[in-house]
Amino acid sequence: MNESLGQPPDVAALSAASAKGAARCLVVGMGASAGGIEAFSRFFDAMPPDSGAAFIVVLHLDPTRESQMAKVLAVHTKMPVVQVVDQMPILPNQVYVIAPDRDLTVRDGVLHLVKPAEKRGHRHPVDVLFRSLAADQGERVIAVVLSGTGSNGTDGLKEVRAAGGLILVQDPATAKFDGMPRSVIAAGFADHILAPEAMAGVLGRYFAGEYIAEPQGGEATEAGAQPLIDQILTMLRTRTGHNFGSYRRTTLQRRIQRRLSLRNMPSLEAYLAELTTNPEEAPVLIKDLLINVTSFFRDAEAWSTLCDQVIAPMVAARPTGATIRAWVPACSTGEEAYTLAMLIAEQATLAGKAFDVKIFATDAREDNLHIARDGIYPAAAITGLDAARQRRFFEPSEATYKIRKDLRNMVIFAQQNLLHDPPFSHLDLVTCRNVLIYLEPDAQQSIIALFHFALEQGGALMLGNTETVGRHAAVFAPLSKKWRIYRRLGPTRLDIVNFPVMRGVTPPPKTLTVAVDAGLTAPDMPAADMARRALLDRFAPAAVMIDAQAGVVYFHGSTSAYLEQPTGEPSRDLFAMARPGLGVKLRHAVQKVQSGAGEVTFDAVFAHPDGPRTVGVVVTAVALLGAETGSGNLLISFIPSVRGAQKKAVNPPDVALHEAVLRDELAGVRSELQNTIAHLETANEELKAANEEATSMNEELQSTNEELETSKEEMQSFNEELHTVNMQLQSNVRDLEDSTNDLNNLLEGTETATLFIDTKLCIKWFSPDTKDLFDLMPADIGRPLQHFAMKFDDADFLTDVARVLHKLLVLETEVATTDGRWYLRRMLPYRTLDNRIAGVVISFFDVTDSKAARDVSTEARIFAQAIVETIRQPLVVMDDALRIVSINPAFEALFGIAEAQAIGQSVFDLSQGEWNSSDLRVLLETLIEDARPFSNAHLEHGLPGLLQRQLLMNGRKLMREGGRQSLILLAIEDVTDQRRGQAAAGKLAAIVGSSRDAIFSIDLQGNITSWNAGAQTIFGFSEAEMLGQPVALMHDPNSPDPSPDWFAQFRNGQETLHYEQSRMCKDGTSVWVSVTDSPLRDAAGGLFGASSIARDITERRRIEQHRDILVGELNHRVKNTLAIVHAIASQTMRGDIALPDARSAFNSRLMALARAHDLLIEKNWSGTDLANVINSTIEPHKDRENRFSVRGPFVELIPSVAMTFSLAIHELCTNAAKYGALSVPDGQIDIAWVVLGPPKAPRLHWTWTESGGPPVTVPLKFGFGTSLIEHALAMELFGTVKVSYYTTGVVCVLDAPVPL
Amino acid sequence: MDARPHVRLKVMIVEDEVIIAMDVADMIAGLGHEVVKIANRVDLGVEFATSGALDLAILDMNVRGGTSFPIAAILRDRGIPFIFASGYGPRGLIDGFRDSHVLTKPYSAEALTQMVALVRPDTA
Repeated sequence: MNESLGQPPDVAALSAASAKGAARCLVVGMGASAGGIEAFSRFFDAMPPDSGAAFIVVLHLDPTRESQMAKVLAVHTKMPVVQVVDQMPILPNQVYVIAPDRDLTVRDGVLHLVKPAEKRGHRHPVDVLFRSLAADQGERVIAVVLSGTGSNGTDGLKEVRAAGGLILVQDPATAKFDGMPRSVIAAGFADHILAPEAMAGVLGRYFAGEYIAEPQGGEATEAGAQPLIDQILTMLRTRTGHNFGSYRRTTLQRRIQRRLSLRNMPSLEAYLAELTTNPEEAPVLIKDLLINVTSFFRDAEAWSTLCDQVIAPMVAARPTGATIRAWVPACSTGEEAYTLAMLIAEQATLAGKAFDVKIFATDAREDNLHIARDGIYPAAAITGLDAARQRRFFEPSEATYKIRKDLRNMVIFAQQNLLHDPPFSHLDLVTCRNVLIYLEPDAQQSIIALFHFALEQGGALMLGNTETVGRHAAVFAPLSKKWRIYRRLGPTRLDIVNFPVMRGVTPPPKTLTVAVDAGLTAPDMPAADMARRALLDRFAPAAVMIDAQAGVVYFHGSTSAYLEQPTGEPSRDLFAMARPGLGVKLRHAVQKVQSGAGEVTFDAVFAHPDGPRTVGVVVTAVALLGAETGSGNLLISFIPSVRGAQKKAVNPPDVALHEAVLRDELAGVRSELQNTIAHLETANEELKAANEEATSMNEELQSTNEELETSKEEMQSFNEELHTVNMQLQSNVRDLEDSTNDLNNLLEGTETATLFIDTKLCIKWFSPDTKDLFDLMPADIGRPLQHFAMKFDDADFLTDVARVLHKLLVLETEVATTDGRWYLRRMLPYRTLDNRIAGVVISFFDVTDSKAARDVSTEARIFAQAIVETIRQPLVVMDDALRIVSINPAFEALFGIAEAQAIGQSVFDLSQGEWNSSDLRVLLETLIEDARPFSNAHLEHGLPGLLQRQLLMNGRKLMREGGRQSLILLAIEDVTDQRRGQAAAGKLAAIVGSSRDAIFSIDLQGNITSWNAGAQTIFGFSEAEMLGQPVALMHDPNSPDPSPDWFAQFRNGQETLHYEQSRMCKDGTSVWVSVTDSPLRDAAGGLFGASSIARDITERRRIEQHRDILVGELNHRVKNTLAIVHAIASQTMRGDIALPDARSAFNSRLMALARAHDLLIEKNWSGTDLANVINSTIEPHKDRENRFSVRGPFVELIPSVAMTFSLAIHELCTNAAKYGALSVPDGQIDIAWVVLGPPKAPRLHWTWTESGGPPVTVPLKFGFGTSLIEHALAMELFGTVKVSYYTTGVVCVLDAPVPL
Repeated sequence: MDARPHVRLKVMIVEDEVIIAMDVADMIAGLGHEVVKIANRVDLGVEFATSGALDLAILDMNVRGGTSFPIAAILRDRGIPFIFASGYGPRGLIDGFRDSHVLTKPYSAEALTQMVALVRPDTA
């Protein structure tokens, strides 16, 4: 940073500037870059020439060229416009334009030109001007920013803002280039945003305003203003919480007056009213009041001093990992804090250490802290930093730079008001630059005390260039006087600290009267210390300890004899306090000690203050060494000496002694004077040398200036020439534009994709239609052709281009695009007027349509050709003289003639005249004559070595366009085999037609394709009803499986399938059929259907079912009969019957059973007649006529009843044969029955009556026979059976319901 | 043999062949049980099965052109065990009675004894 320009707006400078400024005119600094000329013109058009202000115009000018700027602007204003010459004084109502390749600064109302330090392209002349104006003009500075790119000006405006100047910005909407105005507005610096022509009015009012008219003189404001200012501050405190009570009244007043002028307010009262009613005004005012200016490494030398004196030793002394704590109060937008962080980081890196760095950066304004926390700064803000720092600590992004994260992490930002909030503590370093100057002295002092408290012992404090520790010099030792760097000394002095009270907390009562003496009586003081203290009090001489500035730090004993406070403010200055006669010697001694003498002792005699006597004293000054006491401290002891202790009154004549004292004193003064003279002479010499240098420099500059004047004239004439050339060129350009337009229209009008490429295969030009073929944009001109994807399929494209270039050919080929369009690609060399080859012209003609038409006809020809070649029918084409034109392979194959032989022959000459048949001749000749095609003309044709062939012929005459010979097409079909096949088929049809079996066939879809009469007989459907119908129509829903998957099985090689199935007939009945299915295959063995032969087996199945029933019944019968036999056997064997008897009884019973069976079998087991049963059973016992009398009506018996009846009668007979009527020859048995009772419930009465037999007795026991008769029969008949043993014979009576 | 204590069971015989019925009744009696009913018609069997006191039934499957399954169904509902007898053997069973016990006609006293032992209710 340029030191001379970067001065802070310190108080001294401000007041100096304003003191001079009162007599000087106002200066308006104006900055612009691109679009600036127009903006300046508009501004000066509107600006009256007698405003009383001077205007300094700064633009970016070409450093190598003479500027015409002054001439340009002179047109727009009546004020004189001059290009600035170095040292030019500023006069009112003048316009000053910057010279090229120079930075323009203002110092003491004089313009200075400086060679810019930065490279071209990195210069910020507007920033430079604004900074210098702010320093020179103070609050009177006026800055105007107009159209331009970039951010030039914004950084300089910071200082203008800090100085309290006025900033006008061109409304971005009216600016040709709005970069510079927007940058200023974004930074929040703009006081007014206006169109250039509107600025004149605002400036005029501002010039007339109180703020400018009554420059800062401090006390010039009317006395009545103070209460109003107070009211405004009170309002701000209550409204916003900002307390400005400790701020310098003069500054505050000026800033408020500035707002007044800006808002065009007539008085403080009006402004107060505005502040009350307009809520937006208070924040703006606060922003103005809290202005602070800062930048990275502001006052670079100060920082490097801090680095050397404080940071480097600190870094060296601390181990890695230690904590470094620093505080940057009022950090504004953070630059100062980051600067400190950078220094610490750099030193740490140099020392190879790492620390836990905590930099507390605080500010009262939250918006400032926002910016600081983001750590994003404009490029202009870091131009002062060297490249290494920029790289290490900043991340560039577009036009801004961002603080890197590691650096950012070192700084902690917090909102804190230095005046009202508690401080941080245990700090190693506090930097507080240019803050105190804004505050009242009391506030300054309390803040310094606060810093003393906050710092650790030995910690450092850095203040602004014009700030001092003031009253607290005793507790701060200067490390650098120039850069205001101090080291904290002594113990923590709670007495001097006036702690800020936490907002909202009542301050505690002041009890900070900490007595130093309290230490004397402290109970825990070691005995040695107490003794030491007592000895000192008792024996040590009176003494003072002073610091390096000769300020008294400590008094010991009574020094009143030697020292006394002078009138005025209390002072610690030893020399000021010294009694007359002691001061000069003391100063001399202190200087000696400070310049290296360890100890200096002198005698002094001076008049006693209380009386007319002198006091003698031996004074010893000793430098105190060691860390405890702080370097630079001196101890000065006073020991009363007897020599001088004489009473004047007692010894008035002792003039000699008095003289001696005066002489001593004189000698001291003389030597001091000599020193001073020596110093002066040296300084004088140096000044002379400097003057010499300046004079010579001036000489040099003047000669340079003259040279410049000369070259300027040359440049002007050169410029004239250029103008002329320029005119010519412009008319040429116009002609060229015309022809270019013609050419473009021509090329674009053809709708032909055209591409010009140069010899390096870069694109020179292309017509819009080329975009269909390449992905081109206008911006692609100049790019190599091979960079672009082709939208068409053309592998040879680039090689073809190269061929055209090298061999100067014209190439044409057809290419297809990826979306199916066809283009004719034509390449030819690009020839210039002088017949030079400058590239290749490539044109693409869309031939999709004609290509398509051609393709269609080609395809049709290929198609027809293929048909002719592949068709199995012989084809022959003849001309109208019936000479062969072509034959197809089928013809060749069938008739054994090669096409080569046949062509050209007459058809009738073929195969030794085989074709020479009159039928064919007639057909063909008729065809030639009347062109009527014929079809299916039958011809028998005998071929050599073959049987007669049956041929069918189709003939057609092909008429051709354009009068060409017509052609005869003859298609021949050999139907010999077909005819034979037809005959065989006829026979088969007859067989099928006459079959009684159903014969039908189906296709692969299961649809019926044939149906014979037998099928109609069996299923009832007629052929017409079934053809085309699905075979599933005959599916019997009660049948489990509709049909087997014939075709799958046939495909697997199965030749016939046999199965039986129930099918549905037309009338809904089902019919059982035995089916035989066979595959239908074509000549090649391909399956195309199936045939099915079905035979009606309904009758057979009925018989089979009946048989099954019979077998079942038979089984049941046999088993049942066996069971009966089993029962009879077991019943017969019961008891103690003798085996021969049992056998006989069993046999006869079985015989009876058999007879009953016979009877039932005769009647087919459907029941029998009672009489039959009786007659059959009694048959074996009929040994004579009339043995039995059997009488009764017909009664039907079911088989089981018949059987039981039969067995029962058998038992009766057996009994009768053994004991009854049959045992004697004359015995007679009468069997009779009647059916009686009501017709609805008839009953059978049956009687067995024996007579003529031996007398009967009731048997002793009853056997199976009786049981059979009485129980079984009764049960069987559901009736009653009673056997009575009368003497005359056995009588059995049966009564049972009918039917039986 | 059956180790359980003998219980005198009330037995119904359904059989249309009365001679067989008499023989079976003898066999049952011989086993120490009481034949409480011989039914030679389905309706008679149904009647007794519905309301009679019985412990066991021996049912001829085919009774005078009908079957004894209705009787069996009633008995099953009452929880009374029954044994089918049929010349068809188990083949004559219809759905719902496939698990029933069947004596194939003709059957011996031993077969009957074993079957009764198998199905008899454990009233003891």
